[in-house]
Amino acid sequence: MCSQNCLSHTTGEKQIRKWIEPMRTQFRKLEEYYAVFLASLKSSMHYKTDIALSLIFRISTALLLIFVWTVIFASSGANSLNGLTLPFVYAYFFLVAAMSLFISSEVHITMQDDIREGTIASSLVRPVNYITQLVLNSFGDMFIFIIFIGIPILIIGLLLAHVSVSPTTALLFVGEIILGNIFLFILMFLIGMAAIYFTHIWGLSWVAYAVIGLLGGAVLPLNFYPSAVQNIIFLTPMPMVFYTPISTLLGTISMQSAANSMIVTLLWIIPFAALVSYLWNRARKNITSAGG
Amino acid sequence: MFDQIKENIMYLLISQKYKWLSFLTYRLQAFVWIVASSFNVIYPLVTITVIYSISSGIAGWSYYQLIFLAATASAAMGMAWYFADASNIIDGLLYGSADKIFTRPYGLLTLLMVEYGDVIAAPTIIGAIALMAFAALHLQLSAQLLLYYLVLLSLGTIAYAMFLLMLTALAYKYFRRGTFIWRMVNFIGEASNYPISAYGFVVAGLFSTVIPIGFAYYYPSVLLFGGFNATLFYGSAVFCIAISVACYKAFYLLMRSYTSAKG
Amino acid sequence: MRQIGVVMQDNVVIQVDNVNKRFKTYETKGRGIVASLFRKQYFKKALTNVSFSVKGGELAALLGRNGSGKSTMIKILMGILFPDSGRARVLGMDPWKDRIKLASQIGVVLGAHSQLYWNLPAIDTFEFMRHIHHIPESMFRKRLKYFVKALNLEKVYKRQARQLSLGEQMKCNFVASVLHAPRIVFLDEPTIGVDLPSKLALRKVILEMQSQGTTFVLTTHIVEDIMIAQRVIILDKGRKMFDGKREELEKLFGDKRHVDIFFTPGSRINFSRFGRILNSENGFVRLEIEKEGIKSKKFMELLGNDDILDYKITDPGMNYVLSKLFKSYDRRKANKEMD
Repeated sequence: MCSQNCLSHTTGEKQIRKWIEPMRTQFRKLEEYYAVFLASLKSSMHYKTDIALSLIFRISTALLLIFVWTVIFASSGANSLNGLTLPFVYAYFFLVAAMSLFISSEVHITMQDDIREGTIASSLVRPVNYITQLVLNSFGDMFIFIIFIGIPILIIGLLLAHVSVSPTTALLFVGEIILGNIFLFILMFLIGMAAIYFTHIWGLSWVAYAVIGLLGGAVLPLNFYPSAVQNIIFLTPMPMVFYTPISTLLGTISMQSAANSMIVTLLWIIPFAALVSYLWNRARKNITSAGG
Repeated sequence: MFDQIKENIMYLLISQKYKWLSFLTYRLQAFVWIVASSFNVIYPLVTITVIYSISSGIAGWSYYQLIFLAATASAAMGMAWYFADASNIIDGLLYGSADKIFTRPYGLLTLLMVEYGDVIAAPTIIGAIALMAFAALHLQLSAQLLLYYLVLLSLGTIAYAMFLLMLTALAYKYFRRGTFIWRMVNFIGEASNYPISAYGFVVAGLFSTVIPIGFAYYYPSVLLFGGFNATLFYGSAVFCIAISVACYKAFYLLMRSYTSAKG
Repeated sequence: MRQIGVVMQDNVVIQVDNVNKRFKTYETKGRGIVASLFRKQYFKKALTNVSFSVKGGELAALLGRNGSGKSTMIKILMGILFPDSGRARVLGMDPWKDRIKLASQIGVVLGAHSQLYWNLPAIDTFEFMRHIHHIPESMFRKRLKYFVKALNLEKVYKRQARQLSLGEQMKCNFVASVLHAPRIVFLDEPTIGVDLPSKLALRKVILEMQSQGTTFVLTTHIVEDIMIAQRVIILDKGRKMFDGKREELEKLFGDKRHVDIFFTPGSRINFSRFGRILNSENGFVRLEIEKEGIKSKKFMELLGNDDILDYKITDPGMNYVLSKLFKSYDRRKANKEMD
């Protein structure tokens, strides 16, 4: 109820209202996003022992590789191979173990399940865009893993190589991770869409992981590949998933090469994203019109 | 007794036909799976080739010897996977879908192996054998040593498979989850690309006792390349047989706790 | 096909004596492996002193709610589980110990898990079964022809199993399980989600097989499914509550029907004229009336009344049957719908 002194009729108030309303809706959106994020965070928290196991196995694998590479270096009696010394090789594989947590994004699995069980229909009509949901969900899952596993492993790796990280490097590193993960997300999303046509997409995702592992620098540092092969690989966005960020952090890659890699990745992401967007909109129409 | 074994083998063979028919129903998907499965062989090939192109590799092992070793491991693990897919088995037990096979006139182990063995392991096995053949062309292999190698490889693979089955029953009974099994299998897969002598005493010991994978790939290869060693051969053979029997018995004992999905 | 096993006295083929079975269950705080090592263990008694026998050629229905122990009981008879104490004998043999020997004599239809290969047409699974059970070619052809005709599977059995409806899948699953002419057939909740025509076709086939001497044991929580049974055994919370002929059971719940009626709120209809009111709310009433009452002119007029928006006629359901059996049951529980 407005008394005579009420200001609500002044144009000033109206102007402010016009401002606040859209911000309020954005705020609500943020609340929704936060809710989705929190939910997936909570469900990941339940799997504390899964996290512990994941940590143990990842470190164990990294340790295995340390053993092997120690032997390889010793057998050759060399100090460095293709530009990498042993401590850097240790660090490299530790960092791969840390970063492989990102690659275990389960976007395509979530999508396959959604499509199989038809829950995708209801997800599509929720206020939060389906893609955003997927992003937030995978982020929520990853968050815990990153905090409890990724960062410790990262630190161990850096200590092994006696590397100190400058702020610029750190910034670049974060930028590269973001780019790499965008590419990964798009790829996994594409694979997830295949669930509409295939009954099982495990084979496809397995191939994707394998290729990313080999070409992205997870199995071996790309420094070790013959230069002809390296040249080809650097024309793709693959290195951005593991090799480029890790090498940036370790300082084994020049700023120039890192920047080049980022540009190449961007040049791939843009058309890819457009393609996926187009295909997804078409697929959405099919899903909703088919009626589940 | 032998009749039953004959029956079990026949059941095993007949089911292959239907499993493959089922798998090949969707051609494109089957093709993708086959490609995916081949990566189990492509990985060690690429890794080892790269290693030997930039260094002199692992002391005591030539390039082709290491390829042969890694291929042996892939073949052994592939065989275990083809017949005793731990992940599939524990899923079947947990969701109760194993119920429907228990009323067939075959032993429990046979039933689980047949129902849950994964045909997708076949490209891995075939690829591994092809890789072994490729490496063998560049190696001077003695036929006699090859025989010892094959015998130990078989015994070691069986021991490893039995170990996996026992682990599955254990995971079912005590943990009701199987996630750590496939993590472990992945770990073993990574490790078995290289000789266990490269790993420290602890890990090497682990793979020569509790997890009998060493007997499936490393010791047979040592015999093949290093010459015959009676203690190694007979000792390993006996150990493999002992482990197989022990795991077999443990498996059956643990499976008595099978409650089926609904209580 | 060799017949093995012994039919016991009085043509008894299944004998269950004082069977007890409990399961270890766990209460885990949180999930994961470490948590599961520190969980609280307690025992859930699935079956307590259950005894009954089934004669050859009979169709016995094991009726009960979810958690009543009926699935546990039938799995003991199938040889999948074994009793903690007491004995279960099928054809004179211990189904757990002699599982492999008995397998050729029994057929199993699990409603929840189909034996069919998903990617292949049902006929392939049938051929597979032929090999497994060593069914002679001529017998196989004959039985296949019979089942295809009796269950209307002409257009179905050569299509990919994945594409079949639930009812078609169930029928094919049934055929796969009985091709080897077992003497006893166990069916565990076979009609879940199945359409009525398929259910009826299956009933007909079961009756025909029964007339040729096959014994059937069926578990279900749907009261209507017992209509083809001669024997009904009701389990609740692991104990046997009723064991007798189906007609005796029907007398107990007296052939009643429940009618759920939705009507315009504020209507003046006096529903108690038509039957006993079990439940009433604004705009809704549940009546219990005699089966014959449904056809009465009085009732028909009621349903045609303008105030009646919608109605549903059902048989009383499991809870109602049980409540009749035990006066101590809460009125509330009796009026709730089936689990």
